Amino acid sequence: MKDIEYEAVRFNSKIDFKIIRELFSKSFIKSHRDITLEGIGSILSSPRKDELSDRSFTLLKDALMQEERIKKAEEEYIDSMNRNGLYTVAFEDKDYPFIWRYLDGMPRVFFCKGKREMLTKLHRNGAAAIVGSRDAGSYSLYATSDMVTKLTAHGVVIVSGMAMGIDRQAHLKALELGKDTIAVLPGGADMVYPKQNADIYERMASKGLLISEMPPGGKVLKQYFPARNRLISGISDACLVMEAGIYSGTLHTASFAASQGKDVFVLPNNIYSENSLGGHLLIRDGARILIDADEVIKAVMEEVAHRNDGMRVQDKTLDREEIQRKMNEDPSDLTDEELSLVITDQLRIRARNADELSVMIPVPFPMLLAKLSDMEMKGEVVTRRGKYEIAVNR
Amino acid sequence: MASRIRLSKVFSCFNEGPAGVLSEIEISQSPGIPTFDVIGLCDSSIRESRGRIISALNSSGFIMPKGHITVSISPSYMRKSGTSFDLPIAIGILLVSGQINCPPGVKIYAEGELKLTGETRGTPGSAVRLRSIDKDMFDHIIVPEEERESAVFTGSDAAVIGSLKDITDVIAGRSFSPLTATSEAERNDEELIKGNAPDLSVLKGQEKTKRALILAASGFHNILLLGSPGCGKTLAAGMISSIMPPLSPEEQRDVYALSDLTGSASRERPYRTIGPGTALSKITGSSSTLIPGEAVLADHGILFADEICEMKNEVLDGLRLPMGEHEIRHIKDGKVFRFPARFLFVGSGNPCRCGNRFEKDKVCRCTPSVISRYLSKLSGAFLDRIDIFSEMRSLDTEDLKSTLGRRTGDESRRAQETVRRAWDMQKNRYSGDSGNRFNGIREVSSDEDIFDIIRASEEVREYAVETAGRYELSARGMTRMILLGRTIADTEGRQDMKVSDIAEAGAYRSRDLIRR
Repeated sequence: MKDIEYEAVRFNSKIDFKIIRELFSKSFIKSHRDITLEGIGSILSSPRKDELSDRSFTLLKDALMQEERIKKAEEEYIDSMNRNGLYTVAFEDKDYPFIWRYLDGMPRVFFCKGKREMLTKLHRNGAAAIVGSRDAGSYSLYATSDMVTKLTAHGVVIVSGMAMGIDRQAHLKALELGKDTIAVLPGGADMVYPKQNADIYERMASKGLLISEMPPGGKVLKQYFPARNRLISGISDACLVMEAGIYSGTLHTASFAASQGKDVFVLPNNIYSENSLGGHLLIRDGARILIDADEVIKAVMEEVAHRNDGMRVQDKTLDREEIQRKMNEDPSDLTDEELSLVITDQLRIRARNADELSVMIPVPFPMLLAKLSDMEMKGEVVTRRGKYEIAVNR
Repeated sequence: MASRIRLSKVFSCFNEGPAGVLSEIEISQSPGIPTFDVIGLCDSSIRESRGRIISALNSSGFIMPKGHITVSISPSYMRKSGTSFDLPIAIGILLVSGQINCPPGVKIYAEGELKLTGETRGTPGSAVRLRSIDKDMFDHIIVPEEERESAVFTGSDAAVIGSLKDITDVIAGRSFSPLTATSEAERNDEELIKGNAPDLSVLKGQEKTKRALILAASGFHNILLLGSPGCGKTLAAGMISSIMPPLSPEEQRDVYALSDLTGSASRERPYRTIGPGTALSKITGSSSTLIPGEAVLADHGILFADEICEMKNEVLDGLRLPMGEHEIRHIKDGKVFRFPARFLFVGSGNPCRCGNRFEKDKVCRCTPSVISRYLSKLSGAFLDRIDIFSEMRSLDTEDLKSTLGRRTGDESRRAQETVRRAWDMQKNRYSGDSGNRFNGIREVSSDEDIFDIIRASEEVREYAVETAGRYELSARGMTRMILLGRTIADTEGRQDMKVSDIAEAGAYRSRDLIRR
């Protein structure tokens, strides 16, 4: 319930990610679930409220003024969710996408409709985003079907945006084969967009999964597309660009994927085809060329293996909640293994030097430095330009 | 020959490098045409004393005796110079001519320059001289007023005189300005140590540097700080002495004696700065005059090398030996002179040409080849002797804001306690070795087993060897890493070392600085 109230607050006030990040970093809150009307009230009355920036303070206060509107929205959401069979998945849930935990700016709560186990499969088997133009040529559409067939044969989940053209073809083929597919929608998860796809919407809801970060009833606006695209790339382990014009939104997805460290594959096409120029430019800039589905499968499997590696350590002995509790209370209590994990977590986000790490991980500095040095000696991290990085061959 | 030769003898001392050589001054007077000869390989500063002595005697109400006067300063085979022989020669002349009397067998030690008015003047190096003489040998030790502090420092029971006139009183044992041990020398330690250094907390957000400074101070480990211009390297270096306990009386004497050789005596912990413009001879000192250089003057203190990457190769190479041996040797006339140089080396410089290599927000535009060319001055052999390397970054405006107006000495004070604890540990451990009181200064000879000295378990040994292998350290590099680990244990007051000590010590080695 708190998840829904959080969403209601977020979409009906001026509280944005910047403020939420500030609240986390200054440890006003431990979970997004603390951002409720009640939670904001207690933040604003806490003795440490002076530490907040002026902007955050004013906007949090504004949010409280919107109490009626927020409460009304919350009721509407719940009502709409009940009517349309939606449910929420939150950061605290076990099946919250693993990769999102380590990316900046991913939603802490999102709305779903359909088969929830898709999220587990996504994690276990890996996923490939298949994106491309809305009016694609027959060659690209054929290649899309072919790739979906080959990838799904290895259990890879097909992720797309349920637009016309390539997106539609990808979902359609996966559904036909009875394989796993997830659509990330630009509006509310109960909104069918575009209308022409009403047929697949129904099939996706029963055989696949529809997800959205927008609240139920959220209208589709053009400016939401790039935001949606970041979720598509964020949830996948590789990104396949089947056809993209020079101003195509598909290029957004590709660049998100690249900056999130994922392999981008581009289907080569006729160089005189205007609608493929964007994709070709990606190839020129260093994207991989899509010739063989096996290469994609290999890239996805590598990501999955890497992820499971991390998970195994986690599953065996370490309890993240326990670690978090120790971090907040007495960081010197962390065991050696726990400290390693905390350091690795930080370095996975980006390379940092010892000083920065000591801000993030409040253990005594000598202990931190000794641990870093030990990890370096064991080949778990390397130093470059004075910063520690996760060793690549791990 | 009916003429009678009369003789007198006074003792004095002259400087030869870091030591004083006792010398006997014999004066003979015989009838004849007046002459005044000074013999014993004396340079013109001594031979010129004739003019000063004659005038001073006359101004003080004495007379210059007639006849041949020969002054022989022994040991005659050694070259000597300096004006501190004025006073003993004058006293010898007074004795030989009977203008003052003292019983036979009374031994007088004197030193000091004379003015034409008969007043006395101090000369550089008095502390070294007074320190080297055997004070019990003499019945009178006479020094000029200006050397009072040296006399107090060296514990000499000396008579301090302001003018040649006072000499009669001294010899007659009547009255002279007695030395009191409570003179200026006993200045408050607190005052000496405080200085104006800001608190350690101004290095906010630079945890590694802070820790590095504390460890460097705890074990006198050579440290290198690289960071962008204006990120606080000089500030950091200046803070090291503020986190050290004050000089012990023994150390104060060392510092005083050495600094006095240059004529500007000091009792504070030395902080000597050298830069790209400093010539090597200014750092090691000259072997002809044996006047100490910066490295020697930094004994017991800090030798700060600013802009180290801009220094000449010969200077950096010349620093290598003193950094490892903590001693400077000069060879003059076939004799070896050893100057102590137990300094804490602090180097600072830019990490690349533009200086932004370690910055958070600014971009470094140096290509790898530019960087390696820029840092090529820091040879492997040089970096091998750096125990602690720390990169530094500029503080954000946020950090700066929060450090303003917060100058409580708290963090420095706590650091000082840590350092003191480490010093006590090392003092107990190395009580047998003279001078080698610190882990960073200890010279480990090849027949010693480093692990035995520092008490490390089998597990720690293995870890150290493994780490050294992984980081591709030289034998020296490994030894120095282990000694730094020892210091880390000392700061916690632990007798036995742990694996984490070695691990932390390894983090300070500058292995990633240069990739060729």
